[in-house]
Amino acid sequence: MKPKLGDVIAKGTFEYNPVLIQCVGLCPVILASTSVQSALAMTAVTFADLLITSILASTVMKKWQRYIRVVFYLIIGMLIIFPILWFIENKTIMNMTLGMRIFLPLIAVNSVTAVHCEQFAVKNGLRPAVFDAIAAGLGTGIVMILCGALREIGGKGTFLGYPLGVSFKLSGMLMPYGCLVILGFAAAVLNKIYTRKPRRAKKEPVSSGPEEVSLDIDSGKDPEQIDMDFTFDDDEEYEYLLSSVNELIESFSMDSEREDEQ
Amino acid sequence: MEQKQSAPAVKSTAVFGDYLIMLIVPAVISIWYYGTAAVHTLIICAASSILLDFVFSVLFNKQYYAADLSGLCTGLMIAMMMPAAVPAYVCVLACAFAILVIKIPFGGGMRAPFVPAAAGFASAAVCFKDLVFTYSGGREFMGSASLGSILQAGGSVRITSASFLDIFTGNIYGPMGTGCAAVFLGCICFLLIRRRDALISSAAFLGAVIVFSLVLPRTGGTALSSLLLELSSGSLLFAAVFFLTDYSTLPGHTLNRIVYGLFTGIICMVMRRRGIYEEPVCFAVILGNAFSPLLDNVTDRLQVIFTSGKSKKEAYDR
Repeated sequence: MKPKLGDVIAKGTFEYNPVLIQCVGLCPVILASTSVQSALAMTAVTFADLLITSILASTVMKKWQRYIRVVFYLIIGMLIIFPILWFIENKTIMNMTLGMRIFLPLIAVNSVTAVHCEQFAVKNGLRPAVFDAIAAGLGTGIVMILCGALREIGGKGTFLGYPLGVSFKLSGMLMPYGCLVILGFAAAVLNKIYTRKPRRAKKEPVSSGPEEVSLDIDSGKDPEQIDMDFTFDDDEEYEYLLSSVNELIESFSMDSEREDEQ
Repeated sequence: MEQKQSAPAVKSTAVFGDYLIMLIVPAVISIWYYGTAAVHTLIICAASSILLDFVFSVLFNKQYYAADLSGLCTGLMIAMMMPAAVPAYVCVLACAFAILVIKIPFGGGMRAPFVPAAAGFASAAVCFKDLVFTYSGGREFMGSASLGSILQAGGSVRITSASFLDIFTGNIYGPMGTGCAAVFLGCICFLLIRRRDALISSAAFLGAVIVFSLVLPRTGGTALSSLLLELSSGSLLFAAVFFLTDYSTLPGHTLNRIVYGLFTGIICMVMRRRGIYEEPVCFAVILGNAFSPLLDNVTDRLQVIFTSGKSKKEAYDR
């Protein structure tokens, strides 16, 4: 079955976000997200690098040895990232100073590219690999731009270079720890959204007093013949009950083991 | 079941209750020296800490214990390290960092990986360096410079009996509640009675500072005057009493507590000589906190390597 573009992008961008969930490519995000402009430039570079490397990995490099492939990811990364960043910094009218000179080798050794090519592109065809590259590029880009916007507003008091008239600036936001704090909170929010806990069974209406339970011992019925056919509203409820029973069994078995040890 | 739920609150109340008792005297002395400015700073820090703690605990769906004094203690500790005339927003932002970034996400004051007050003050020092290290009030030694800035500039202070008394009682330019060495000696005595096990790291920390000051003095005077100035300047004694004894960041083993104290003391003194901030003790404490779990981990592994049988199992369980 061919993967749908929408599903792949939704999963790759948010549910398995490369930066927030897989925790790869943190160095470029921290370095490049000091302003929205530099975040946009870095997003474009990462996107181009991911797309080209994924296409090559899914078509040409499939039969190569793994250690050769990884070296080639880095070489391709350098060949793409260095010229594009140099071009953005020096030859465009944006006249941007990205300030990444000494960190360029760290940015070029992009773990997002290596992870996505090695885990997905090599094992799949061209179409899924391109979809995955787009999703990973989008996921990284959204995080970079979000961090860039928050850090620029907090640290410089501007947005896209325009002053916002903020009376004080938190220069700590422009430091790496400022970005890590933002990434931590963003990862927590994403985890909260995508961690679905099993829904608990619906509560019974609270009665005014203790419920009366009658046990008819003399009914003459065999206990094993009592009807045990439970009905559940949905699968989640059933799974929740099953997991609770399993936990109970495990706790009993652990208790008995402890007693045996004693 | 009810007892189990309230256990962390009880422990937290007992620990932070002791800190609160110790914080009362420096708070009173700061009000004595700086007047209404100190009262404003204390109220703003305490109120913002408690309010942020309550509001965000509710927002993040965490249990908020009314008797948990960690929020109040964090606010007061931050206030003590600030200059009396610091703007209110600096205090609020420092408290917000301590509570929202360090305390609440990691499960409260007894589980925070870093000392929240140290982290809050460090973030304020990074963001508002000029405001946090500009002092007012107190007896002048060299213009309106604090002892920390005099030492950082390589200057010397001629210690007479009058100036010694001022230094010892905190009547000098500096943070509003951390200058009075006499109070912190009293606090150490209180901790000797109440929490002796937590004082090991403080003793190691002070030992490292004393040796460093005597061997490599920053001032032109005698080694003893260098030691007195190093101990009295900035928030060093305050950190030894309140940050190095924090249970959530202390290593478990006694030997590790000594190593932790020594490491923090050495880093603090190196930062005082080479760093850009006149009072880097908070940064040294944070760095020490980061290595604290590693120390326990290494000790556990070594214990596993050098022991066998039942003791190996105990080492793993620990």
